[in-house]
This record gives sequence, structure tokens and C-alpha cells, in this order.
Amino acid sequence: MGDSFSYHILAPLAQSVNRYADNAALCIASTSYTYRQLAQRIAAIRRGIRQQGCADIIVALVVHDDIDTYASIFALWMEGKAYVPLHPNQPLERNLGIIRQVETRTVLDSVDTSPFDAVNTHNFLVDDDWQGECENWEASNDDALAYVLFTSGSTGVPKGVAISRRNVAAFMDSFWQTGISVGPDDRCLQAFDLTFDVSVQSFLVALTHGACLYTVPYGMVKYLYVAQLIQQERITFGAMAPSMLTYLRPYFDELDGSSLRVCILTAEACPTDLMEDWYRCAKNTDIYDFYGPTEATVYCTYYKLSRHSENISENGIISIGRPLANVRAIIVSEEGTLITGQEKGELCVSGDQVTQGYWNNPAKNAEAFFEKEVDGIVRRYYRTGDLCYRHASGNIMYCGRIDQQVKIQGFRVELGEIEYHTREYYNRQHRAVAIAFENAASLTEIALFVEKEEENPSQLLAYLRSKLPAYMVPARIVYCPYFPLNASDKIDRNQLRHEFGAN
Amino acid sequence: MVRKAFGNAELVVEPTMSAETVDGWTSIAFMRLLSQVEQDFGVKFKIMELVAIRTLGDLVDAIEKKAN
Repeated sequence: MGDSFSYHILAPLAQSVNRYADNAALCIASTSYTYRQLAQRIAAIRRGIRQQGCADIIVALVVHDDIDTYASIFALWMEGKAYVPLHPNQPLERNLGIIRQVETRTVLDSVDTSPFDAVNTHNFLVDDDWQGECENWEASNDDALAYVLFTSGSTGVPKGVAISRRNVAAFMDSFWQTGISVGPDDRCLQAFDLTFDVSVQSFLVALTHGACLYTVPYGMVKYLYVAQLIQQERITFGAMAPSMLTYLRPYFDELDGSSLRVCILTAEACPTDLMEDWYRCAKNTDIYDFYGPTEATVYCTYYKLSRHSENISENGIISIGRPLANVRAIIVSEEGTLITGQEKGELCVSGDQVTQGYWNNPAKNAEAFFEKEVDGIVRRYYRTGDLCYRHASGNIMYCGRIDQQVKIQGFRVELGEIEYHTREYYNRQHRAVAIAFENAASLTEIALFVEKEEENPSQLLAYLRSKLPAYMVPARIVYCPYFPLNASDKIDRNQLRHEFGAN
Repeated sequence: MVRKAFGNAELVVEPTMSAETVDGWTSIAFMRLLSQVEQDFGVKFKIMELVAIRTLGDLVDAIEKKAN
């Protein structure tokens, strides 16, 4: 049994603490915390876990923008446990559903009065005065879980992706093999919610290399706060979704991005024209387009953009490049045969970064994973659901989703989940169709169509807000007495889209 | 204008409102509000002026300062 998780994550973190104890590890809402302070909180939380005992392997972690949330992740890992992040701003009912799914009775919540007190049996965060040091940093078991992330599910129930320590270690190994480096002088951006796996890249890259991590507090307009961090804190390294740059695009001429050394674009398709404009602002920056589903641990493929020559693109979308070191990527036809030419097909990935499966979901697992012999070796592959083809150069080109999933501000959204809750609201008396459209500023929003006479949508909206994260709540609701049907008697989504005036 | 941008026809609009207190105060809603404000009042904000705006009252002050 190997222990690559210690090698790639726990030992480098210990090294950061030992070498850079007085350097800032975290900058949260303008307050800095040193590596020593982070280590002390990790030690205190570990002590709590040990003293109180905790039978649960998976611990729910309410992810606040504070030092205890980050310290808890490492404390849980060092105590052999895994975290499932719960976003405090998401509906309580959705979070309770996640707790029920993973069957944990332990919730770490750093606020005084937690809405989860009724389901929680422990409190490891009380020990504020503990000044002890961390011990036994290195022990870990690669087969154990690292985290479980819940993503939008088309049946209305979020599904949990179980990521092992081996998966995370393989990802970190892949990441550094791209040649990107980070060190103690770097100031790194953490612009992703901790419920979303790019956050794992953001905090691990910084904290395992002695850099300082700058978070984005909740209750801020994110793109404005990020602009402030880039310009005033002189951020040197950051991953962000292209839609963040779409917000900032009108200000590229006045924003000073000269400190940015490395910028990763991820979580959404990356438009060529946006990047050409971004180069004018990010004057000294190496730009990368990273692609990957949560199921294969953060990123699977990457493409390094070139500032001075043309980048490989299709329909204005930059290539997602080539597989990372620990990822094998194939493209298969609808019939399941391997595509070796340039035809389009579904991108499938295998390797140590690929999850063992969805949490307690054999039906979904049977759909999403399969074994296939390629070049004489049988491997287990994950179906990404992404339509891709291989460019003559060998780079992979992304052509959109095969199913009904869209990305809103980088978050995966199954339109079916919004439709499900709408039908539930109307006691399944009316049909509903959600479509994604691009608004005037080229940002993706959701329009919801309900097959019903016109009414005031405010109650429906309030209901959806109580069931769904804010980014999934439709921007527009349109009532139509009858849905148009297509030739195969299905609801004609294209017609609805056309009548709505969306592209 | 605020109600429309935040997609909530019943929103009680107050100067202390901020992203922290209003559910619908997202990046996209703020951008929607901002482009309407810039159009209707004939003003244009710089990014570092926007960074300082935390509440609706801040936005009103910023518009007044710009318009004068």
C-alpha cells in the first residue's frame, strides 16, 4: 500500500510550516495568518477529534471563509478522515440531504449557532487556546477517502463524487509535471467555493509550497473583489473561470494585472477573443486552459496558450490540449468504438485520478464507468459526457456537452434538476423546460419555461431559491400555454429557445 | 431598477442593502444593475471605484459624485 498522499500533500505542507512558519499562509478578508497559526489550529482540531473520538470517516464541513475551515480540511486528513463540504449559503434542506446521503453524524461548523446543531454530535473547534505543535504529519493511506463533492444531479438529487487520497496525490503529481511552479514569494488566488474542486487545486498548490493564499469572502461581488486582489495585493498565481474575466473585460485597459505570473482558465469553455484581450491586461502572464470533470480530480487535460502565435481553437473556443501525466484520454463513438481519426465522440478518461465512483449510487456508476481494452491493456474509463475530437496536432478540442448539463459561472448545472423542482412546485401538473442562454454580456443564464397560463412567478422563484443554490435559480421565467413539439414528439427545446430570442 | 436587476419585484430597497444581506445580489445581478445605472445616469465607473461600493447607499453616493 503506497502513501503518495503524504508525499504530495501532507509532507510538503509540514515543510511549509517548518520552513516558513512566520510567513503568511492565508489572507482572509484583509487579515493574514501565518503558517504557524495555521499549524496551531490544525493541531487543536486534531486534538479535539482525538479526545472526543469520532467514528465517522466522512465529516461534513461547513465551508466558511475562515482559517478554521482550511485547518479542518488538513486536520481531518491527518486523522484519517474525509470532508464533505456544505456551503452555508445553500439551502439548509439541500445540505441536510447531503448529510443524510453520506450518513455522517459529525458536522464541523465554525459559527457559534450552527443550523446543523440538531444533527451534529461533536464539536472539535472549541479549543481556541491550544498552542501545541502538529505531530505525525505523514501517516496516510492512499485507499482512504479525501473528500466527497456533491454536484447537480438530473433526477433532482445531488450526487456525491467520492475522491480518494490516491486520486488527489495523482492529481498533484500531474499538476507539477506541467512545469508550473509556485514558491514562498507567490501570492495565490482562491476564487472558487470550497464545494467546487478547483478550490482543492487553489489551496493545495499554495499551502504545499509556502505561498500565501488570498480568499474571496462571501457577501462580496466576486469579480470586483478579485480585481482588487489582483491590483492591490499583486496576485502572482490564480485559477479562475473565463466568466470572471468576462465580467472584468470592460476594465482590462485600466486594471493592472502586471504581477500575474501564471493564470489558469478552467471550469468553462475558454473563448479565444477573451484571451486575446486578457493578454493586454495580463502583460507578464503565462496563460493555461485546464479542463477536467470532478470525477477525474480537478483537471484532466491542459493547453498552454501562446502569446505571440495563433492558438489552436474551434468555433472561437481554445483547445483543451493534452492529457496530464497521470491521465489517459480516449474518444469513443456513440457505439462505443475507439475513434483514432478526427471524428467527434465522447471523451473518456482513465488513470489514478479517476474516482472509484459516485457515493452509494450503483445505477449511476454502471452508466458512467466502463472497462475497455486499448493498445492491449484493459483500463477503467469514466465517460465525461463531453463531445470532443482530436485535432491534427494531437490536441483535444471541446465541442460542448452531450447531455443536458450546462455551466453557470463555472458550476455544473443539470437543467433537469431545475425542471424537477419546478414540476414538484406545481405538483407535477405542469411541464417545465430549462434552457441556458447567453445574455448581452456573453454570460450564461437560465431561462425556465413552464407549460401553463401566465401568472406571477414570484412564489415559484421563492420556492426555487429554497431548493437550489443561487446560481441555479433561473434569471427569466416564461409561461406558455402549450410547448412546441419537434418531429419526434418531444418538447422542441430549439423552438422554445428561438421564441425566447436566445441564441 | 434594483428590483429588476435582482429579479425580485417585492424587494424592499434600502441604502444599507449589500451582497451580504440580499440573496439575489450576485455578480451577474450587480452587473445588470450597473449597466442600467450607467445608461440612465450617463455615468461610467472605473473598476477601482466599483471595488469601493459595498452597499446600495455607496452606489447612490458614487452616482451623485459622478453626476456632479
